[in-house]
Amino acid sequence: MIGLNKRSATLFAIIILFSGILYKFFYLQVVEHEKFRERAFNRVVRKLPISAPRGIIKDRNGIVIVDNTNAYDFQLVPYDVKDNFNYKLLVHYVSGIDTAKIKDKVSSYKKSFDKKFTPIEFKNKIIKTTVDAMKEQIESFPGLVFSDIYTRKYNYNSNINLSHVLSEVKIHRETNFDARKNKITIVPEGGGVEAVYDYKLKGIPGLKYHLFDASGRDNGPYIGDLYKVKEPASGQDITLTIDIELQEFIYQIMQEFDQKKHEGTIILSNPNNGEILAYVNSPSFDIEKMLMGISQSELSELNQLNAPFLNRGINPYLSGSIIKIASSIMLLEEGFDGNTIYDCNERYITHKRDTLVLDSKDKYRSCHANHKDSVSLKKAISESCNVYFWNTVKYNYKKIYRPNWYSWMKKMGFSSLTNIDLLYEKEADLNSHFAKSHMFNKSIGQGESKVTPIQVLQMINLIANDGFLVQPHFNKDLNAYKQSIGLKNSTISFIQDAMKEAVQTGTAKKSRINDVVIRAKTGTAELGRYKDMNNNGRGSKDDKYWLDKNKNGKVDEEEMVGEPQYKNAWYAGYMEYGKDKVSLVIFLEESSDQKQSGGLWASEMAQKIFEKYLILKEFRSE
Amino acid sequence: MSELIKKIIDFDYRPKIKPSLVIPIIVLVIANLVLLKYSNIEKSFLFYDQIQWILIGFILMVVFSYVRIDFIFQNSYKAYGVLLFLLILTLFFGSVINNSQRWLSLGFMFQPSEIGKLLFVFFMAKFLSTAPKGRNDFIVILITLIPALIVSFLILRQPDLGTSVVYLFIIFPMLIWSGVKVLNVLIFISPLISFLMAFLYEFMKSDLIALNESLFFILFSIWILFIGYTLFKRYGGHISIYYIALIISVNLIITMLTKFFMNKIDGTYWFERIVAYLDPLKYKNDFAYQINSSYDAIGSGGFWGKGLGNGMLTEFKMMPIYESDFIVAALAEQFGFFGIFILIVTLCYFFYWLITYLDKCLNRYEQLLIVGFASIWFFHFFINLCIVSGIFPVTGLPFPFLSYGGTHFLTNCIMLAIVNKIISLHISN
Repeated sequence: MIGLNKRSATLFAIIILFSGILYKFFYLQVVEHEKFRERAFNRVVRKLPISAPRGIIKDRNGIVIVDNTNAYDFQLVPYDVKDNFNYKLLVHYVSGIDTAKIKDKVSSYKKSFDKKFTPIEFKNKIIKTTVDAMKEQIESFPGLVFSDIYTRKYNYNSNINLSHVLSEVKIHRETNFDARKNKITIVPEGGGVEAVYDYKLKGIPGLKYHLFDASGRDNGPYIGDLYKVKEPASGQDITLTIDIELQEFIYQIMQEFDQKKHEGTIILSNPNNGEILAYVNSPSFDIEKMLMGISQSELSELNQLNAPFLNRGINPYLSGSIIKIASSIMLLEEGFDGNTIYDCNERYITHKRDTLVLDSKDKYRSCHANHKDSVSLKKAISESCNVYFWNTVKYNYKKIYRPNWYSWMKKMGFSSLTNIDLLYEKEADLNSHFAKSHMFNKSIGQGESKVTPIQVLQMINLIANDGFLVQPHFNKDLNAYKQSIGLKNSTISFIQDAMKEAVQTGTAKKSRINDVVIRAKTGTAELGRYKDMNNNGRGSKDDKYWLDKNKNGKVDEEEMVGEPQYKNAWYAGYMEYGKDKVSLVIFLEESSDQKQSGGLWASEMAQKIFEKYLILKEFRSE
Repeated sequence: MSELIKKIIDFDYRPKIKPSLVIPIIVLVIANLVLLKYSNIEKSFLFYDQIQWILIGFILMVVFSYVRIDFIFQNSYKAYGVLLFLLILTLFFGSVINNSQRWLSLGFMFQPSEIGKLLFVFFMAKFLSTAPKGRNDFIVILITLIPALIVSFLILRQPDLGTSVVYLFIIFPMLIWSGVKVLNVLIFISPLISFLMAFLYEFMKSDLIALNESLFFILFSIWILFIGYTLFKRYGGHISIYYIALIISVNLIITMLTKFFMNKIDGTYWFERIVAYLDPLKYKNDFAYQINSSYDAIGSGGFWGKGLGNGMLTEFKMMPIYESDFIVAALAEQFGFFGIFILIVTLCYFFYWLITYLDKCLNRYEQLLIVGFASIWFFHFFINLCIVSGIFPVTGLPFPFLSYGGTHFLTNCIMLAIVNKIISLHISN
């Protein structure tokens, strides 16, 4: 064949070979076209998210507390960043950035073939006015690009006074004590209602399609019928139970009452349904700064404060005399006669093992109400008589305290979480030693059991709504649980009367308002005169001094007397005004001030808060 | 002096153009210009560069039309000397671009291996046309291979595998047209084919690629049987059975070297290229990036293409060097299968007339010149298309007249001028 006609043979071979190639092209372009079309698109077209605005957060009266606003992230296109880039000016506008790191990154990306056009993102939210100022000096920032995003805008100072409710800060350490000692360097991670209701608030981000070339340069949006832009869906709005006006007022009280800055928490709620009207934590922090990028100096300034990230409302503290209400409820429910009278003139100073001991030195020290005669339970509650409760332990330990203490604390919600809609709620620390010697302290709330302010609020709500446990909450649309724990009516009215008496003549009398019924109980937890590992008081002498003394067993009581006594002050009560009820828990943390007690500062604050509530109510009804 | 010029230049020559040869080339050049201008706006400056090359090429074509074929014939052996000189010069003084030393810097970048194809064909045509007839085919093949191997070794050192393979391959069509029997050529290169097959088999065993190895085993058996059968059929009663056995055993023994060879290249960039060629999907982000880009561009083009200037992959630089070696992919993306079909029809038309004229050519030297040039073109067209469509592994080989490129384009112009001159001068329709 080949020998006969070279021309035809060669042509034949050429055509065969070219046909083979044509077949291969046909296979790629027609048969497998769809597959390669998709592959080619995926290489060029990149999906980019469009951020969705979060839902708005309103207060109970419909006032917008947290809104959205436009902010900007900045990006650097490495290829366009030139030597005249003014890093110093960048730091001036954007706080909290590390220029050395940025420089390194830019120069390394610049050398890479496929990354030199890829913008490097920096997640520092910048507000519009700053961006405008930077744009005027854009020649100092070659290669700087802004991308707009949504960020939160806080009205009525809620970024400071409501920061723990809106955005809880997760703390590294488990216990609050450690958190105080260690400087906290982390910044908000979820938390608060923003985190709890994130699924409602967040919305669905949209998608857009942009064309990118091999070196990562954005060539604008893709226009065609293969992919369509998906618009973002904004999140649902949330209405809180917070009354922002009360919140602001109470925060101010915390900051300036009696010309002092107080630490602690104040919670105001509606006892009937558990709605929290105000929830103040002090010291607080500024969420906005946290979101927009906080500078190192501002952060260290924050760390100078006493644990500003700690959400005190849901962390356990020594309860003080507040717990006497719980003890009384238990006593009455378990058959203790409320009219039983004990002598308070016995000058018991303390207990040793399981019996009460008389002061050996004959030094006068009775209950802090200075009773010289016998008292009943009602008076013991209203005037907060420690000796009376010691006596109840002394005579009823086996019958009532030992079998029932824990179960009643559990019934009243002290052994479990309240399920408030905040993350990281801590459980109360109910020491499980039920020996008589422990029970002396437990019955009056000193030394042993710790409860969280929100649990105390729950207990007050229980009394205020005649024996129903309600779930404290912030979301107005939440179906909060409400269940009876089966208290006798007589018990409730007894306790209510005793608390009323406390306001009229007893320890809480400074919170009294004419023509209004207020029922309350105060408490003062003594933390000791020096700081050791377990109790957290702060002496004027340094820790080491007292620890050394303590080790050698030579702590001199006399020497201690001159040192300031550190105390937590509590106030827990509720006000009835017409059909309306409002419950209040004040917890003031650690101060050695003379006025730091349930009966003084806490009660005075309570009066101011109740008055404000009444004024607001009347003003609004008009 | 004027004597010398008269020796070189034929002033009596009246240029004639064979439209059937030149029109397909003009089509390719226009396609080249259009693709350069519109594929990627950022690279459209190449369009103006290419216009300069085309003008220079045109001038060269006119000039070389006047060169006497006799002069070329007389100096053909010297041409080989010049070629060797240039290649050795490049080996020592060449400029290094992209890790390969292929260019001589003479004010402009000049690639000796491109113009060398021309010189090599001059030499080979004279060598084969003057060789006495009646010699043993195998001896002719062996003698021809020596100069070709020297040149392709020098080019391989640059390194430039594609071009060095072209040097080796163009001698076979020339051998066949000079009278060597096809079967003898086939038998001569059969160990190479066996080696390649066994080499593929090594890759399959090593799990580097996902292909069915038994399939290749069967193919190999068929190949060996085919050699044996054709030998037997051809030489039937005249050839000893031992001769057949020898050839088959050479084929088999050579396959045993593959393991050694594979260990030799393991870890080098050859290895990566081969693996990428055999299983492009698996290595699509590293070694096989280029071929996958090419696949995507071609495949996404579809039947009618995306239209001029809408080639996404070329526009967004997803396909490196689309303007030279992979310009067919750019064409396929923008004009689709239809464009490729037109391209191949154009090529077939070109070769049809070239071979038709070739067959009528009576001068052995001139005929072999055309055969040499035609095979250079054919191998460039064919291998480039194979590379772009993933049939062959990726080596740098431009597409004549369609790819952007300087020396390469000029060489092709000179070749076209000589072919046109021979055909228009000596062959009348």
